Amino acid sequence: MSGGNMGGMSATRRKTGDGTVENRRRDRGTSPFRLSMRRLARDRSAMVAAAIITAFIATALVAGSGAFGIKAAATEFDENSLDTMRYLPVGTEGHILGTDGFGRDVLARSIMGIRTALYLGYLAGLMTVPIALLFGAVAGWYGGLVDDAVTWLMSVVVAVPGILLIMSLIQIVGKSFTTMAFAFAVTGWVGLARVVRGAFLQARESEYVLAARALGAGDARIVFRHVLPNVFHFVTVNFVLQFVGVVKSEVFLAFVGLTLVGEATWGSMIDSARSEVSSGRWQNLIGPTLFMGIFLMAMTVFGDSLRDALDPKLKNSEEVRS
Amino acid sequence: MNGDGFLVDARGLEKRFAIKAGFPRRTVAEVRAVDGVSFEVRRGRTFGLVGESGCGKTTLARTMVGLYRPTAGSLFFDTPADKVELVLELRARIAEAGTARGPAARAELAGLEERLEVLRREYDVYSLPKRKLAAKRREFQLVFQDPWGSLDPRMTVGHIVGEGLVVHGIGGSRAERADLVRETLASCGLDPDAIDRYPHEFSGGQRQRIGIARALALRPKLLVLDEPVSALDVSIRVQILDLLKDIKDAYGLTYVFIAHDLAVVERVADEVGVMYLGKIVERAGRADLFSRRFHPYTRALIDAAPVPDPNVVRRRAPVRGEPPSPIAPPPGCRFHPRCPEAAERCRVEEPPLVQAAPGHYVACWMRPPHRAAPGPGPALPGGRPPSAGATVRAPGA
Repeated sequence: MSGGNMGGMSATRRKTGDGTVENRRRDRGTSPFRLSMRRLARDRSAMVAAAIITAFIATALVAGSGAFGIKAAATEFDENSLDTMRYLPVGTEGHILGTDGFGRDVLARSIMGIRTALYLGYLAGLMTVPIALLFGAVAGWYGGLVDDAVTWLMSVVVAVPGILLIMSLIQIVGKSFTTMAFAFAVTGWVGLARVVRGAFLQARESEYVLAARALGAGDARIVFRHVLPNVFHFVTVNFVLQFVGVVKSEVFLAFVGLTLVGEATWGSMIDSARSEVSSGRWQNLIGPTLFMGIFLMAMTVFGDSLRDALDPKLKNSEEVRS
Repeated sequence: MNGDGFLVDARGLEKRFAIKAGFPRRTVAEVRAVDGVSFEVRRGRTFGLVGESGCGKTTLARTMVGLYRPTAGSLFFDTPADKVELVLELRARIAEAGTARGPAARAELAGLEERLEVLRREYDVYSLPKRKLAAKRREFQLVFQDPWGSLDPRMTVGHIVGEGLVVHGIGGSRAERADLVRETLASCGLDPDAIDRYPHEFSGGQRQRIGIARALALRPKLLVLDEPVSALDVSIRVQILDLLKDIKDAYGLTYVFIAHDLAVVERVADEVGVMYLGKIVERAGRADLFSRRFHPYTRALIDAAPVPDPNVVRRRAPVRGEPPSPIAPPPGCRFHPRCPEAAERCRVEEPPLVQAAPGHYVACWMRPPHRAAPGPGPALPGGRPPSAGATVRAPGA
């Protein structure tokens, strides 16, 4: 965008304002963040994905509040099923996706599974971000021996297969969603920390940081005003994409028996449905896999689009301006 | 403070970067980016510094504004001349007494060192206590070469230009600071309403104006300009150079102007220093330097500048090859491997920077005072062709 062009734009805005000089609209600039959001809004697949995710979240909230009896249906046992497994086929007695062996509504449980997935993913992200930011920032900012130590620590964490670490952590600390989220955080921080470290290393030598230093700005000011805002988009993208990893891992954990009995999670549902497949009953797989598949696809697509929109290197301001 | 003396007095500045490798980290080599540079800049003047890329210009600029801590050397900024003399004298006496033995001599040495330390903590920029340095930073500011990389993309122009004001607590309220920022923007030829805009909304020339405004907002005494126009379109350069001239007059600034483009330096500088591989090899007043160009390197540099006249037959000085690596500079004179005039002495002994003519300093064994001055120069009879400065001209001017 050329300067002349810009001057012209501000001039027309002033004319179309309500005329008086005092009340004319201030010609505010467009921040890189707003440019990113515009870019995201123009990305059709991202918007579809966002709509799906919003629908999932809304459904989970509504279901969680106990409305429409979904919460109840997900946990209600059929008395008869305690003696013999009682699967209701798809579409019988008002069970759209049938029931599982305990007579619990599969659709209701799949919906409650959204809640679990969201809760786990959110909690894991909330724990991961501070750890990753701290380690990445310290390593990248101080460099030298500190950097060596952190890099070494990251290599160690990565060297241990994450899922084994998660399993042992859950075994040791005990099964709970918090423990699981914590385990995901302990194994999942390395990726983001590496990115943050790189960004800090780069920022430390960047000219705008040197400029701030020349002005007399201290470390704290430089880190919080100049470096962290330029790391923010990595954090956001990582947060979304970590969701996908956490939901997938939960299924695996259920497979090896590390799940919370009684809770409606997609992992435990798939795990119990799995054992029925050999006897020809595959209907219980439909609900959780379908929900999980759609949710993960939407999250992945949205995460990728978000990265494209936020990454300043891919910025094309001319296109966005039009 | 001294009225018309030196604003900047750099003595033996040296900056080496260690190259570390292995585990545990060891210094395996050193880059001698700036290797013993001394110069003075008079108040209100422009000191031009030219040299090829990689000769240490940018390092020197950053060292001068305290971004890098030099390996050795002192920088006296706005210091009375007698204090500078005193420091140098003390240093000489310490060097002398350093070899002395005996308790009396040692006591005297300690006393001298203490006096020096006191003076340095008061006047030498690199020895100032943290707080004093922080306050002093306000007086010397840096303008960067790259108008894209030097502005934080996520901050508004108002925040960028006003940051120094916030840091130094200038202007009591937000509104007062905004007024100062607007005023500075206007001085730099920008619309004061640009305050709410972001860097990406500006062109290269305007961004450079923002960079200049950021430095100017603190109302410094010295601006170190690190190739301020070399990243800009030729058509924009003159505008920026004119702006720099205007604000220099308006705010009574002193400039250290770094460039690799001789035409630019000839246009702006009062005095010129030529840098080669971390050292100043020639220093003189502008006219003097461009007409006499004593040092073979200066000669090559000036003769290599394009002449905008197809009828001028150019004879290039035969300088071959690339500058050697500053990690392992050649022994003797650093220019000797590329010098067409190099003699035996140049290969072994490093020539000091000495006065060859009044106010004209050269570091070359083949020039005065070591040898007689050469003829009018191998390049062109009758001195230089029409000013190389003519290549920089505003479109339609």
